[in-house]
Amino acid sequence: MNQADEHNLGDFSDLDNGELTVCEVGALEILLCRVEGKLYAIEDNCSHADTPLSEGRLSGFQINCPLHGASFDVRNGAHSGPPAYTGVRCFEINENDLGVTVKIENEKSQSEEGPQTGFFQTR
Amino acid sequence: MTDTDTNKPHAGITREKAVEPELGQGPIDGFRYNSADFAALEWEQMWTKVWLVAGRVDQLTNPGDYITVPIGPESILCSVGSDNKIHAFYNVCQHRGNRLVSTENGSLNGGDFTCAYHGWRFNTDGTLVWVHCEEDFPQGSPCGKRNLVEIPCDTWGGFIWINMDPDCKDLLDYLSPISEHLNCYRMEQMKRTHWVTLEGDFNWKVVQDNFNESYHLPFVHPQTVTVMNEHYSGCQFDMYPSGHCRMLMPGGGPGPQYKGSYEKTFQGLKEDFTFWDFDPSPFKGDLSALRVALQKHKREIGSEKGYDFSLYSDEQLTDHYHYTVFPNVSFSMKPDGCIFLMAYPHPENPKKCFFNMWYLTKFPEGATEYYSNSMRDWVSINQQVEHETGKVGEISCGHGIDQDVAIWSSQQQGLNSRGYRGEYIPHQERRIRFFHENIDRYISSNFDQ
Repeated sequence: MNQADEHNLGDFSDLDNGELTVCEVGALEILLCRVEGKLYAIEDNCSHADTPLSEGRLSGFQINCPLHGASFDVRNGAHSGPPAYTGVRCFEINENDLGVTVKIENEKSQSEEGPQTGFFQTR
Repeated sequence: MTDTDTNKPHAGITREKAVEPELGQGPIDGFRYNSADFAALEWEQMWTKVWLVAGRVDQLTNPGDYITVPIGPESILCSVGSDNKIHAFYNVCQHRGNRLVSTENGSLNGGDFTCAYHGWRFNTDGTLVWVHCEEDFPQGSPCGKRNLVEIPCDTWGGFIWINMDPDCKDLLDYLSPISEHLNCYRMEQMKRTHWVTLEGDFNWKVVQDNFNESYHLPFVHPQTVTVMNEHYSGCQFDMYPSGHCRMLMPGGGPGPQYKGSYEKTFQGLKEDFTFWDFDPSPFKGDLSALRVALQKHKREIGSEKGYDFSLYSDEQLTDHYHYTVFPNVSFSMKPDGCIFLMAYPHPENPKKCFFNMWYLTKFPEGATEYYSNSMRDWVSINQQVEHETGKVGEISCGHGIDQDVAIWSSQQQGLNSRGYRGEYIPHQERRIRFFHENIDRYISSNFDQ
């Protein structure tokens, strides 16, 4: 079971519905947004083309990547289809009178993947 | 520039921007892709007037060698004549019209082409040399007269080209300026190591439209966004009066739109880095510097790896040089090879075509075995390539092209819809409009050759 660290992000009581912001936890950039009164947190990085989702548009529970239109649900990081083929990390958020904390699970180190290839590879 | 700058501005393909043609605004409607009448017009007024690729020169090395090539409803027979040159004929016996040769390739070994129906024999020059009951022709012996009908045939880049118009312009005149640009690759020295023909349920122009735009790259080829500058702002699109086009797309790293970290870029170029013994770690913080560094490195150690890059510019060592030759050919060039793509119309059904993918490998000096990075496959210089044929989905054309093929069927289905209102394309897709307007120049009979 992966261990999770809890990090204090501060006070975001003034983040209104439909608004978003970015918090840094070490090297990780987290998109924090409020929808229907509740805070949600996902990784601020589109799984399709590695673009900050925070530069996109929040529409209901969907955050849309500005570069190629990939869309992710802020409640669970799930993608809604192409051009994205995988979702993004989603984090457990706790908001109370003392502020906002986020739980970040320690990810296993990435194993060596096969090469991404396409016919555009050059020698 | 420093002393160590290896940029050779005068070698390789010119990057001079072509004058933008004036394009119209006429619709590119769905009927162009599914109408039998439009397909008939294309056949009579365009396909029979242009230079087309029939095969590779190295398929015909000895007198008597021959190949047959289906092009639409026709079959073209190419053979090596007594003059040791390649000749092309309509593959039809001039007795009563039987198809003369039914095999894809072979060698006569001193014999003649013999019609299976009544035994008429034609030599490799196309001359009718023997008929059964020659004395029984009151109109005179057909020998020497009812010869195979020859059509113009020439070679360039190691390709056999044919033209069904006896009054056509010379091949090099037709191909200009593409032939001048691509001569530096010496494709005549490349060996065809992959040969796939797929019957597709889409019109041939769906294929050529696809290779005349790069707008689809982030969606159909998502792996490209981390390893090349696929955004239109980083690319150059040229259209030439001869009807041919090209796209120059920077490679060796992503464009400025890519905001991700270096890991995916390094992963995507991993095989390149490994082959070239290139350490990318100094560029973790600045991917924009990777491309030029890779060019310089390949230039420095190219000859060690068996490559002669003296005819290439530095850009040709990393970038994507993609040429389309009107009407139906694409050359996607690499320093060590070429992906050759070509679609021919189906003989009866405008909603179908035959799509061909050839990979041409330039083997490094002395190498007989080579790992083709583009095809993710080992190839051998000594092995005769197998012609794989089938329907879409049955055979791979390589990972990247497979992604293109996968979208074409649904594209044709949409084009068949009565709800399709014609195209609405961005400026970066203007090569598609240029392509269709060139087709119209032929079929409107206003084209002045």
